[in-house]
Amino acid sequence: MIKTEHLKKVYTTDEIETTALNDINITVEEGEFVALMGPSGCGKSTFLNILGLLDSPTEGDYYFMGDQVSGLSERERSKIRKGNIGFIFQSFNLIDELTVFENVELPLQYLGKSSEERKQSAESALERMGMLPRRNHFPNQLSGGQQQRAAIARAVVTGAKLILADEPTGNLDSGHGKEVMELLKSLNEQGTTIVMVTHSPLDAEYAGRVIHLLDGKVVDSGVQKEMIS
Amino acid sequence: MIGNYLKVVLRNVRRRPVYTLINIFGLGIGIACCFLIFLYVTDELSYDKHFQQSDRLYRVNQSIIFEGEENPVATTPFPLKEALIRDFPALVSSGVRFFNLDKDNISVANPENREIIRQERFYFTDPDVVDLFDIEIVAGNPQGGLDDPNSVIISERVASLYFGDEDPVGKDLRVEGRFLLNVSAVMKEWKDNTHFKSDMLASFESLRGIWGNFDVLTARWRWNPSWTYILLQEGADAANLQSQLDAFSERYYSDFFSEQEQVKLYLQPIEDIWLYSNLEAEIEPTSSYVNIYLFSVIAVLILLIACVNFINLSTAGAIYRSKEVGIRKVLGAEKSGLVTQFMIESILFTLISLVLAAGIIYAALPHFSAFTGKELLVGNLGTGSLVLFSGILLVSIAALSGLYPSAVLTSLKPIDSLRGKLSKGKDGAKLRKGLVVFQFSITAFLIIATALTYFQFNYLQQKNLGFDKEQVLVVPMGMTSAIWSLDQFIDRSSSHNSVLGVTGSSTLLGGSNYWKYDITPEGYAEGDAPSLTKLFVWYDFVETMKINLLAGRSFSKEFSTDETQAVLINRAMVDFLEWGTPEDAIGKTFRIADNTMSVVGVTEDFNHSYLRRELEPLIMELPSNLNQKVANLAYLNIRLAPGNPSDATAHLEEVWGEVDRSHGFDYFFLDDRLNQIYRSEQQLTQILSVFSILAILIGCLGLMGLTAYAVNRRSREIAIRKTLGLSVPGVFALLSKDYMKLIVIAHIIALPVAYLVLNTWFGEFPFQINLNIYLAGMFVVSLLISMVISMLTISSQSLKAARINPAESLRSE
Repeated sequence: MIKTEHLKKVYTTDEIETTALNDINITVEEGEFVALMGPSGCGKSTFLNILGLLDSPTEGDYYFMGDQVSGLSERERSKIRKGNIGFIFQSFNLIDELTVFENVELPLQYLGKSSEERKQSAESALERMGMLPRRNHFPNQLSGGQQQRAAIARAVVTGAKLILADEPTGNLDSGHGKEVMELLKSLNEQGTTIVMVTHSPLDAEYAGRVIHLLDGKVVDSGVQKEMIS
Repeated sequence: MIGNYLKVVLRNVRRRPVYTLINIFGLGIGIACCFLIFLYVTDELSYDKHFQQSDRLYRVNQSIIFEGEENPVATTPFPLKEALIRDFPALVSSGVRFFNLDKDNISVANPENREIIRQERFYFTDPDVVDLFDIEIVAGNPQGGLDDPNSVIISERVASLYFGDEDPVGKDLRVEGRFLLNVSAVMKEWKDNTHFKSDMLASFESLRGIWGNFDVLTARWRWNPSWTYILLQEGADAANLQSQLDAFSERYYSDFFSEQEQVKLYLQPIEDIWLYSNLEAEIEPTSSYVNIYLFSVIAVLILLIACVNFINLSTAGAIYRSKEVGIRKVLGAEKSGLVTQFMIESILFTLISLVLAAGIIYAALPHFSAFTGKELLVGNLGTGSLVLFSGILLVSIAALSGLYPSAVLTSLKPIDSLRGKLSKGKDGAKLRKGLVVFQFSITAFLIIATALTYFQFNYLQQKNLGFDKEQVLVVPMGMTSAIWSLDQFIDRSSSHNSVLGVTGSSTLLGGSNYWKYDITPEGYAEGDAPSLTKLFVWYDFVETMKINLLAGRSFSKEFSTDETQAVLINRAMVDFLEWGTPEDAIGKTFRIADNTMSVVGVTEDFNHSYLRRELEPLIMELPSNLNQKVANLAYLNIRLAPGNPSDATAHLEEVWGEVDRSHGFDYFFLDDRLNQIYRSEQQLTQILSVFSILAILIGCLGLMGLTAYAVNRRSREIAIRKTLGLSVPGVFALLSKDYMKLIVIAHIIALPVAYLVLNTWFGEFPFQINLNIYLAGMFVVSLLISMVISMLTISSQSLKAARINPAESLRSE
């Protein structure tokens, strides 16, 4: 599903050039659950953003579902993102002015779905996440765990094949963190590919493979292991 | 999707009400100002356009050129109209003269109740007036009936004034206590947006009954007492007629003027008179196109300030919105969709502001109308213009204020938006600073320009006129019988101990046109000298008007020859004729008509005419016989002792009753009348002040919003500084430092602009304030005002920032 070859990302600010990613070559198969680990500043989030087509690499190739996507414009990337990739962020990134339901149905609006379709899909996603009773709440009326569950509902509502999660439990206590990880696990079991950045070895345990990054390079691309039962 | 956008807008409004209020309030005031000014400007531009044939209606002005110098005036000789129709039948269709007996007002009474009322706006005119000026006859002869001698058309208002509910048609009115005019028709009031209005139109032929030598007087080309309007033939070219007027003038005028003089005639479209004509002897005071430009510029500036607020607050507030934009992008929103979203927001804000503006206009319009002395109604605009104006406003404001913020927000990469990278961007801050400078430059310009305009007009009014205008009661004398008993009136008036002096003059000092005469000073050959300004005065003129005498003496009854052989001149005349000192001028002579007159005294210069005119050489003479007295002593000037004048006026009214039974006792105070003459300037300054204050207010609102955001944006920096020991005043200094710099820069930009504009404008006045000194002074004052207002605004925000527990700000990061 994902394949990168000699991927490189360089940030240039004023006179300083920082290499965030250097010669990254990885492959993620459909249905995999991959955790990206490494110390702060190693390039995990940058890599995730490139995988999510939120950012583009400076050099190298990126194949998403078999297509070369590294040189696309923001407009073209946006088209591919829509409906194919779901995002989960550490800080949830729900729109504060919209209710839980409105947040969840937003990606469907951008896909041009009808109001009836949106209602059905959003309610079904919220139900799966156990958030239906809170559908009319605003983000600031929810706990962190609830907000993240709403964010996951939003990530899956379009039926995205790939979920990219950036430290999904980073802002949660251990109880809520576990809940979220269980949800991700069950999504993966239903066939969704997940790439997750995490600092937590405990969370990484949920993944089938762990890729370690250090100073922008892959130091260990891990081995597929048996799923934790 | 639009529903989603609207929801977000409304919820944003709820979350940040202050920001919303500032935006809407600022825009609302801006739009309201703009609209009021638009109403005013539309009204000014509509003058005289309502006449059906306005495109073919012209006034004929004349100018006497002497030694290359033109003296254009709005009045022309009586025979001009007929001569034009006769000589150019293919070009001139018809014409109308207006003549007011050379008087400000004419006494008219209903013979049955004998109550005398002084009527202004009374003209003797020609029958075609009904056609040319679209007179709407509501009763009586439908054609007006001005072909008949002694007929008069009166307005509905005047009809009810004299006849109450009775039908006035066929009834008589006694004019000047001497002759009767018969009401032939009643007309509707003249429209307000006409450069002059009339209440009474008497047939020109009626003058035959007043003047024994009617035919002689109405054939004179040297006398120009009437306003002449002509209607061109359909399709006739005004330029064609104009090109033939020099030859025409040569044909008719040359017999009456010397070889050194040349008379030029000019056609002026009636639609141009109100805004573009400021000639001597205008039929009524006119306005000026300068006001139109001035107000339009102010309207645009105010609107710009309000839009800049919107842009500034939106981009400063973008930090709050960048996350939303980022998420929307991550979820698949396209740029066009996001721009649409922000434009919808901008349109919505503008719409709400329009509603608020409508409320403000509704409340302010009656006051604004009273203020401008115009009956301004929204309905005057017509639905089409109203919708068009609102539409243009809506689109331009929404585009001006919405496009930039949406471009900034939507151009970011989604990941940058999510990281709130916008808040750290320097370009946005630079632009905001630029816009703040722009805003403050406008307000600084408005403060400086308004203040200097005020000072200039104030100077014109307060300027030492050279005579004392206070406590002078003026009685118009023209054609009253009081003039026949002048000495008796003066003696009887002076018996009251509040009456300190009585004198006469041919014009209203400080506020009249003046006339030039053929006068030959000593050393000039007959006919070689330029026409000179002459003022007829009566004894005690210098003393009563408190004019400074530099040399010699004033007129005195002790010298029996003063009425036939003595003149007074002013200092400008001494200088003009290069006669040396005022003392040297005593005894010099002038030839006036067939008399040789000696200079017996020299006065300091005084403003015998309008302040807009340069001080000119002046000669003062006593009327030498009764005829001259009747013809030239138009005003009695009576100096009263300070204090309540009612006792003195009662006495004067009683004395008046003894000398004239056919004219009511009419009087006014000189200072009031002079202030009235400069009323339009006062009004202009007041309107300028109000709009400037509003502009400043809107600017300050924006500044308040900006500092609030600055406090938010810099909360972490402030918290860190506070943990390191920054005090509350320190917070204030930190926040205000940047803005103070911007205000100084803004003033430096405004200064040369203000100089250029005001220098050009004030250059039109003969008497000016010292622009450099006033400009420097107001620069400092405006700087201080702006700084103080900004400091007050900033201090409230600083206090808030200073009081926040640093831990809170640090934690939120």
